[in-house]
Amino acid sequence: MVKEKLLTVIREQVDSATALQNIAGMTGGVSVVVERSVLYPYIRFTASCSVPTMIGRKAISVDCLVDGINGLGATADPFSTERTVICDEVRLQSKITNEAAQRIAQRTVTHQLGRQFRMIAPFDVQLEAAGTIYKRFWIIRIGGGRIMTDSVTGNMHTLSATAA
Amino acid sequence: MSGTVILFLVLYYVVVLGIGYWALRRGAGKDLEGYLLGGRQVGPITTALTMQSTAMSGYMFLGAGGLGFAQGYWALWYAAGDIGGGLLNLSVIGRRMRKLSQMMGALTAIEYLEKRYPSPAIRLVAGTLTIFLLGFYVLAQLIAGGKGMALVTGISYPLALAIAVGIILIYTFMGGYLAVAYTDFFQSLVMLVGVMWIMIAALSELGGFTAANVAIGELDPTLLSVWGRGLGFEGQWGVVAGALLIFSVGYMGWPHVVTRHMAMSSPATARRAGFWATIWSLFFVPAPYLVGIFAILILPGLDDPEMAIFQVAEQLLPAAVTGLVMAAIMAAIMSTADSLLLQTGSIASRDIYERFINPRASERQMVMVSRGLVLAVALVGYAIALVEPPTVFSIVIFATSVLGSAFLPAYVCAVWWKKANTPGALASMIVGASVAFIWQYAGLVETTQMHPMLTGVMSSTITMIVVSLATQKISPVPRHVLDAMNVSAAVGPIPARYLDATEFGLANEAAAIANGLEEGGQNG
Repeated sequence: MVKEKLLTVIREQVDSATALQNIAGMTGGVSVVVERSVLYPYIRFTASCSVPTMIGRKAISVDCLVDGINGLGATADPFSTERTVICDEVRLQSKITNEAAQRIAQRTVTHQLGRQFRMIAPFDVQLEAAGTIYKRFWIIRIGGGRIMTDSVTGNMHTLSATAA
Repeated sequence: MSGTVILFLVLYYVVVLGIGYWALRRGAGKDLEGYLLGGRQVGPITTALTMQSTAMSGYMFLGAGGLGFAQGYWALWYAAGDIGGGLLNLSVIGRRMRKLSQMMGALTAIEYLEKRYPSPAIRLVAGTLTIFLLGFYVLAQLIAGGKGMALVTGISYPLALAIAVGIILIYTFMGGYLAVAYTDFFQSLVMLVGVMWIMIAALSELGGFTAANVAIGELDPTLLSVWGRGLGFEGQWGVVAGALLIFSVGYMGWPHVVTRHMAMSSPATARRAGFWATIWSLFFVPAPYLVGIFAILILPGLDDPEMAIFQVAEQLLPAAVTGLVMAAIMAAIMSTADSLLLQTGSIASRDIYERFINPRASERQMVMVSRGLVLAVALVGYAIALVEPPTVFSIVIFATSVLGSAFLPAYVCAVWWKKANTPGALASMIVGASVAFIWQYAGLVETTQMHPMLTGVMSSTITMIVVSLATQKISPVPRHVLDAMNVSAAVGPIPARYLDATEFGLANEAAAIANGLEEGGQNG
């Protein structure tokens, strides 16, 4: 029996047909087919920070996503989400607690600010939790292997041989 | 220095500050967010030139010119290694390290080492060594900044040094944002054009390469040889090999350089950035050495060989051009010093203080530790640079030899050798750093005719192999590390052309999805 759930999903910019077309354009005749999609979990935070500049402190706000499976953090470009009913079996389960995610997000944003702005200064990072969201990846079979395509950026990555 | 030089030097900074101010006013915060998020999206040419402008420190403008002036064409051994260093570095560890560090969730180069060779001792030893050696590197930038500032402004060296240190500290504490966001790319172009201009002006003054070489040959034919002044290095292949290695493979042992691999977006970007970096280096790197060699003829009575490039520029270039070129050189020195201090502060706060002393440290405590260490490094550096300043060349060679010897096998084996384990890496770092240090300070270079970089790297590599093999049973490489190495190396049965389209940043999602598909079966 197929379970259905209402989830928050990052609005896709690249549909399965486009993802397929992008890869087909590189194959040179090898057959490609969209096998399925997978929803990947991220824990979302909105970070409010202040950056010292020569004309005073500037307040900035940035999204930070913590990978719900590997626990890695990253700042994110602005994106929109939508509430969608999905089938349970295409969703990967988050394994990271909210407390752990908060610590990772704090560290990620602070590190990113210091590295990017090249300064040693307190940025007064304040985090606001915004729940778990999902991103869709298209799984495309090509010959004997698989490639996954990010439905937001269109970036792709090969999937390891063991799983193929 | 003429007033015109100072005027154009000041004008350069006013324009840079003006651009930054305008951008901040216009963006009102959005610009900062864009920079914070968009910095990783820069293209390969910008990536390459930004990387090169930061990497090329005061050494290129003082040390390289000074070596050319002192030893003639022998100096080009160092240039030869330097030209290919960036590309070699990217090729050997670039792609795999980017992927492995992403999979392990390492934010800093030292954290990456600890995650690859799991042990707090790795982070403690690597962090301490790096802070110590980057401190020396900072010292070289302070001396370069002080000497340059003294020549440009005409003020005394102690005062110029104090001003240079002050500007570098303000740069670090208040933010190098303006320089990073708007001037790195421009600065690298000005550096390239400026140094090429000085070289062409020197060649023009001397009547071309052939005439210059004939004149040098008449002065001292040994300066035209590959063995140095008075054939002082004749047959010393151990020293020559070290000179070649130091800026080629030596790059691979610099934590502040390998950190850049961790920020690459894709193999295609890395490859193209490597190409542009090599093109830039091909033109830029030999020029300071050659200007130093030509200065033998242009400035026969030069007291301080390390001032050769500044003095040649002052003598041959129009005042306005001299001002702009010197501003770019000074900005390059400041920018490198700022990067090194930030790296040092970050290692002290994150890799030592937070990791071992206060795991629940607040952001403000971390900032205090970083600033305290940066201030201490700057003050100690100022004192040394004031009381008994060593040459920029000797400091850079010392720091690079010890850093490269300590870390080269650890970084290379981390991605290429699955048997490289924690005891092997720890012993390798300690032995490599010790051998290079002792070789340098016990005067063993002269007696053995072997460069400390060569002996250091040989020792650390042999130690890594022997200790790792001997301790496989008591300290095997953990399963999760081997799995991550397999994923970072394997690409699956996918045509090679897809590799260019691979996004490193998706490595973890890819591994998790691959596992999820495997566990969930094929019935989705």
